[in-house]
Amino acid sequence: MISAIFLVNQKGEVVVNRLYRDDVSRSMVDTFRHKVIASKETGSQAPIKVIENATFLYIRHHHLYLVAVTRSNLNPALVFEFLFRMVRIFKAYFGEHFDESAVRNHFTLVYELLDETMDFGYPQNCAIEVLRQYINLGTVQAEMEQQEPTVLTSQITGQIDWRRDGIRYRKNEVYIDVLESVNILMSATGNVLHSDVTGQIVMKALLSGWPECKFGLNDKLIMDREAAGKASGAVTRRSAGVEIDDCTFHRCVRLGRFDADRTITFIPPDGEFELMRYRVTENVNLPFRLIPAIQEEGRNRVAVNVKVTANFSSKLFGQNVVIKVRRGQGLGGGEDDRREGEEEGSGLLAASNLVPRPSHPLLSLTYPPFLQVPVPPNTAKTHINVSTGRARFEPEHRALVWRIKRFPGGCEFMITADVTLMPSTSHKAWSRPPIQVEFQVPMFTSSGVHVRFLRVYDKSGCT
Amino acid sequence: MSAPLPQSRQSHPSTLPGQHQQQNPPAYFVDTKKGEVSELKQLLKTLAVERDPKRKRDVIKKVIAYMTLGIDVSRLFTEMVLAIETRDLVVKKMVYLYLCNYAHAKPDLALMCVNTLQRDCSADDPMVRGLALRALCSLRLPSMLEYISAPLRRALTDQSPYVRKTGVMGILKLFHLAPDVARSANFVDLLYNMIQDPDPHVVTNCLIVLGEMLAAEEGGMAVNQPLILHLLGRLGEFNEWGLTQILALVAKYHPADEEELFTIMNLLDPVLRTSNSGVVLSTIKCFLHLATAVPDLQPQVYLRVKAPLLTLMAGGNPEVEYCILKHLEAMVHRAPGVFDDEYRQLYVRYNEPTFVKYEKIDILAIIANEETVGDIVAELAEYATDVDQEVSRRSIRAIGNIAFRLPSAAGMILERLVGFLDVDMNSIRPETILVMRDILRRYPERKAEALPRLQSCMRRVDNHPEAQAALIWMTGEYGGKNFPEGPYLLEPLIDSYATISSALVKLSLLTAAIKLFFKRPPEMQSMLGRLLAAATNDLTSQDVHDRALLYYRLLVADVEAAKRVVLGEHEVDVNRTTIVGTFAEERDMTTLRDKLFGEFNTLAVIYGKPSSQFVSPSYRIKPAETSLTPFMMGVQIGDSGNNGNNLLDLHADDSLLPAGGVECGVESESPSRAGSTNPEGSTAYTGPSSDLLDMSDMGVSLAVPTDRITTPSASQQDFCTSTLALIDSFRMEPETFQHLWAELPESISYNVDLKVLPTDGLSTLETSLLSRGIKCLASGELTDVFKLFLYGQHELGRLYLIQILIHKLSKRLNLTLKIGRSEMESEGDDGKDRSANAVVELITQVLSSLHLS
Repeated sequence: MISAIFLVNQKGEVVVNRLYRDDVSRSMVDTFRHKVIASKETGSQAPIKVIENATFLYIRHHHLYLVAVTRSNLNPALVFEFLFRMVRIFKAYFGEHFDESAVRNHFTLVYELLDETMDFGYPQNCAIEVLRQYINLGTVQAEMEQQEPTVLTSQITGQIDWRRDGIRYRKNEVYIDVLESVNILMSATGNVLHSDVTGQIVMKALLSGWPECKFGLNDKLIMDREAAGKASGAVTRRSAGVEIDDCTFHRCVRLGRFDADRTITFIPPDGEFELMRYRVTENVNLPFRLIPAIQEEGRNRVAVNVKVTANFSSKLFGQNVVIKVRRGQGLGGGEDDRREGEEEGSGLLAASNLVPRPSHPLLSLTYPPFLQVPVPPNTAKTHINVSTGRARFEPEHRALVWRIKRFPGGCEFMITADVTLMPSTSHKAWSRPPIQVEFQVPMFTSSGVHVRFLRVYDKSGCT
Repeated sequence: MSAPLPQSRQSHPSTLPGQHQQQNPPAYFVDTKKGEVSELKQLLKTLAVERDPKRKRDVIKKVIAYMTLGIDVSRLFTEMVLAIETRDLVVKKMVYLYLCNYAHAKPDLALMCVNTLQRDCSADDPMVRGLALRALCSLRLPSMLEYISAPLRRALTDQSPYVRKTGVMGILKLFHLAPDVARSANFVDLLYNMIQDPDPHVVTNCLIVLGEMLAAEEGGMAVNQPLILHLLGRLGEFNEWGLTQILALVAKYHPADEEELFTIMNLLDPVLRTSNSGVVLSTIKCFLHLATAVPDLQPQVYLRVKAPLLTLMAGGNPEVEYCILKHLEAMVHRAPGVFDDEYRQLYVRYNEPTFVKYEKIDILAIIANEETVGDIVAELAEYATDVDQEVSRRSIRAIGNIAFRLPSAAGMILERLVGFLDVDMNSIRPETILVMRDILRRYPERKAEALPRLQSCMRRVDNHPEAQAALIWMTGEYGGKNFPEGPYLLEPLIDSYATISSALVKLSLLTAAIKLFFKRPPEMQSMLGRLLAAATNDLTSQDVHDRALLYYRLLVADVEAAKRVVLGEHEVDVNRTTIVGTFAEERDMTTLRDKLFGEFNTLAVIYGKPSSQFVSPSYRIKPAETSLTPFMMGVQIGDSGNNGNNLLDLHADDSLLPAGGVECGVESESPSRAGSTNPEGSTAYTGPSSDLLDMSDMGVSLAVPTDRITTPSASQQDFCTSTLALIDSFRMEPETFQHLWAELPESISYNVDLKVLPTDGLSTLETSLLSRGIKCLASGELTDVFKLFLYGQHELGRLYLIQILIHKLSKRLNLTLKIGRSEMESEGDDGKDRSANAVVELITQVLSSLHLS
C-alpha cells in the first residue's frame, strides 16, 4: 500500500500532498529533496529509492515529480502504473501540458481526485470517464444536469467503468491511427542488423450509446485461416498477413475472445484512447534510408553530408517522420562502424462504416517534415547546401534543421554542410546524438500492419 | 438526431479548464503573514451568518490552500466544523479533508463533528454517505471508536456499492486504529462473506482488507478452492487494481490436482495481454508459483511470459521498463537459455535514461551464449566508449562477466579488452585493467596474450590506484618466465616510492616485488632491498609498514620458508587451470536469488535484497502458512514411498518454517536428509545414523541457550508446576528434531476424542499453541489425518517433542510426547512424568479453548 502521494516541483517544494497513512509525514518530502533532487540523480539513477525504511517511487511530468512513498514491500510496477494513470487523469482535467501552476490553481480538484482514486493507500477508481462524471470543477456543477445519485454511484463501481450512459452524437465517427516506432541497427555498409517495430493503434470514437465494435487487422494467423477457408483454386495472398509477435490491449477489449479466435471486440470508451500495442520483428520496411558522413576535420571543423532516400512507392509521398541516427564512435575514433536509428512514422487510416471519410491526419503529428542533424554545442558558423527544401542552423536544438515540404517516394535528396566550431580550451568528447527525421507517410506502415475493417454494431438503437 | 447533451460537452477537457482558469485566476498561494489566519477565522465566522455559497467555497478553499503550504491552520478547527453543514459537495469534501488533517491536533474538538458526520452517513445521496463514512474512518482518533462501529456496519449492507466499498476500507482503518476492537467485532467473517458481493470494487476492497488484517498473524487471508474459482470466474469484471489483488491470492493457492492447475492457468492466460505492467507481472508470479508443483511445466511458463514482458518493455515508460528489466534479470538466472534469442531487444538505445541502460547491460552479460557472444560483445564494446562513465564501466565489466561464464569466448574477449587499453578515455582503461585481472585469475593460461600489452599502461593509470594495484598484482603474479620485462615495470615505481600516495598501491607493490624476487632474484634483489627500506620507514600507513617488516623478517629468518609463504602452492601445481570454478561471490548470489524469487513482483527484486533488510519489522508479512492439500502432499510425499509421512519432505517446503534461522542449515544438508525418514513410532529409525549424529550434536548445542544452562540456581525449581513455563525464543532445527525424535523414548501417549475437526486447517490450533510457547515445526493434512510436529523448551532447558495426529474419521486425537533431558537435570523419572502430564494438560486446555474437545 502507498502511504502518501506528493506532487513536488523541481526545487523540491511540495505542491500538493496527500497522506493516506499515519506512518509517513510531510517531512518525508525534505528527505526526498535532499537525497534525490539535490543529488541530481533523477534521470540517471533508478526511480525507486529506499531511504530510512521508506521507499520513494517517483516519475516526472515536465517539471513536476509525482512521488509515492511506502513503507511496505509492494508491487513497484503497479505503483508506477498508478502514477502514470494519475498523470493521465490530470491531463484529462488540466490539458495535455499541465504544470505546477495548473495544479496549484486547481488544488481542491487535485485533492478530490487524489481522494477518489486512492483510499488508504490502495488504488480505487481511476477511470477518467467515470471520475469526470462526479468530480468536476465545482463551478460547472450547478449548470450540469444533475444525474440521479444512485445511478451515478453505481456507475462509479460498476463493471464497465470506461464508458458512461447516454452518450449521443449527431454524427457518429470513428478515427483510427496506426502509429509505429521503428528501431533499426545498421552496419557501416548499410545492412540492417536488427529492426523491430513497436506499434500503437489509437482510436478516437465518437459514437452514441453502447456500440459494440469488431476490429480486424491483417494479422497473419487470421489471414491464413481465412485463406485456407476460401476455395483453394483462388490465388491466396499469404504475404498479405503480418506476423505480430505479441500485443497488449486496452482494458475494454474482451481478452478471452481474442485468445479463442483472435477477434478483437470491445465497447470503446468515449473519445481518444490507445486500443492496442503490438510488436513486430519480421519483415520491417524502412520508409527512409539515411547515409550520413560526418567527419570531424581537425579541432574546429566538422563536415556534414547526409543523403536521404525514400524507400516507399513513388505513388506515396512523405509528410512527417522522426529518424534518429547515432553513429557509433569507432574505437580508433575514425571510421563509422555502425549506426543505430529509430524511425517513428504513422500510417494514417480512417475507417468507419458510419461516416466514410478520406484519410487525414488526426493526431497532433503536425510538424512540418524535417530532418535534424546534430552538431557540436560550440558551433559558430555553418554553410549549408541542400538539394530541396530549406535548411538552417538552429542553436536551440544544437542541430541543423532541414525542412522538406513534400518528399515523393523513390526520390533521393542530400544535405552538405561545413560547420565551423568555436575554439575551446577543453576538448570534451561530443556524444554524437542521433540524427532525427520526423515524417508522416499516409497509408504506409513499416510493419505492414493495416486495419482491414472495423464494424460497429449498435445494440442500444441510438442513432 | 438530438442535440448533444450538456455532459458530452464536458468530455473535452482542453476547453473547459482553460475557461475556468481565465474567469477566475485564483491567487491562493501568495505570501502569508501571521495575521492572515486570524483574518480567515473572522471570515469563517461571518460566513456562518451570511450563507453565500460561492463566498463560502472561496474562503474554505483558502484555508485548504494554507494547509497545503504547510501553514498551521488548526486554530480554525471550530469554525471549520461549523462549516460542515452544507449542501455543497465540494465544500464538504474540503472540510472533510481539513478535519482528517487536523483531528489529531484537536481530538476533543473533533468530537463536535461526529454528529454531523454520522448524520451524513445516513443521507439520501450515496455519494454523501460514502464521503462521510470515509472521513469518519479517516479521523483516526481512538476516542471515535464507539461512533464508528454502527455506521460502519450499516454501510456494509448499504444498497449502494460505493458506500459498501468505502465501508470495507473503513474496517481496515479501524483495524489500524484498534486492532483488538476490529478483531473482536467479527469483521473478518463478515468480509469473507462479502467476497460474494455482486460489485467487483467491493470484492477488491474485501480482499485488500482481509489480506492486510491477517497479514501479521496468518500471512494473509486463507485461500481455498471455491474462493479461487469464484474469483477467477469473475476475472473479466475487475479493473487492473482488482486483478492484482486476485492474482496475489492465486499466487498463494495450491491447486488440488493437475487438471485444476491447468484450468487456472488457462483462465489467467488472457490476462497476460493487459497493458498494465503490474498486472502482467502479478500474473507471471502466479504462473511461476503454479508451475512449482509441476517441474516439467516451468520452461513452458518462461517461454509463455517472454513475449508479453518484451512488449511491455518496448512500449513502456522508462520507470516501468526498469521494473520489468529487474524482474527479467531475476528470471534470466532461473531459466537459462529462454531469453537468449531475444538479446537484440536488450540493446541499449541512445535516448534511454541511464538506469535502464545499466540494467540492460547487466542482463546482456547474463544471456550471452556460445552463438550470440560475438554479437553481444561487439555491442557491449560500443557502449564502452559511451560518454556516460558508468555505462562504459558497466559494459566493460559485463564483457568480463561473459568471459567468466563462457570459456570458449575468453580468448576473443581478452583480445577485445587489450584493444580497449589503447583507447584514450578516462574511464575505460582502469576498468579494463580490473576486468583483465579477474579474467587472468580465472584463465591463468591466457597471460601470454595480455601481459605484454600492460607495460605501456603502467604510467597512464597513475590517477587510479585500484587499477594500478591490479596492474602491479598481475606483474607480480604472472611476471615470471614469459614476461621478462616484469621487474623493469616495477622499478620506476619503486624508485618513485615517495610519490605514491595510495596505500593500496604500496601494498600490492610490496607483494608483487617479493613474488618477483623469488622468480627472478638477480634483477629483483637490489630493487626489493630499496623497496623494503622505503616501506619500513613509511609512517603514513601502518599496514604498509607492518607488511614490509613481515617480509623483511621472513627473508632474514629463512629464505626458503619465505618462498613457501609468498608463492604458496600453486607455483608447484602448474596445471591449475581448473582450480577456480566459480568465484565465491557468485555462489553467495545464488542463495540470495532463490530467496528473492520468493518475493517476485515486489520491491525486493528491485533492490536485490530480501524484504527483511529494508522493510521495518511491523510491515513484514508473516510467511504464509501453507495448508498442504492432498495434491501437494501427493507430489511431495507419495514419491518418498514411506508410509506417507516423511517429515523432512515437509520441511523442504520452507514456507512451513519460520523464515529466519532455517535456511542455512537446511539447504546444504539436503543429500543426507533425503535418505532419512521420520518414524511413526519410536523404533523405526534405522537410517545412516553416524553422520547425522555429528550434525545433530552440533544442533543441540546450538539450540539450547547456554545462558539458561549455566544458571545454577534455576536447577532447584520444580519442573512440574501445572503452568508450564516454556521459552518463547527457543528455535529448533528440523535436523535436531529428527534426531532427538529417533533417539528419545516415548514418555507418554495420550488419546482424546474431539467434538469437531479443526475447520480452517490447522492454523488456529497452531497459533494458540504458539501463544503457550509450543511451536510448530511442520504440519500438514493427509487424506485421512491431520499431522502436527511440535516442540517446546522448558525454562530450565528440558525439551519437549510432540507429535499430534488427528484422525479425520474417528475424530480421535493421538498425542505422542517425548522429553529430552536437560544437562543439569538430576531428578528421576518421577519428575519427567509429572512434567509430561503438565504438557498434556496444557494441550488439552488449548483444545478446549478452541472448542475442539
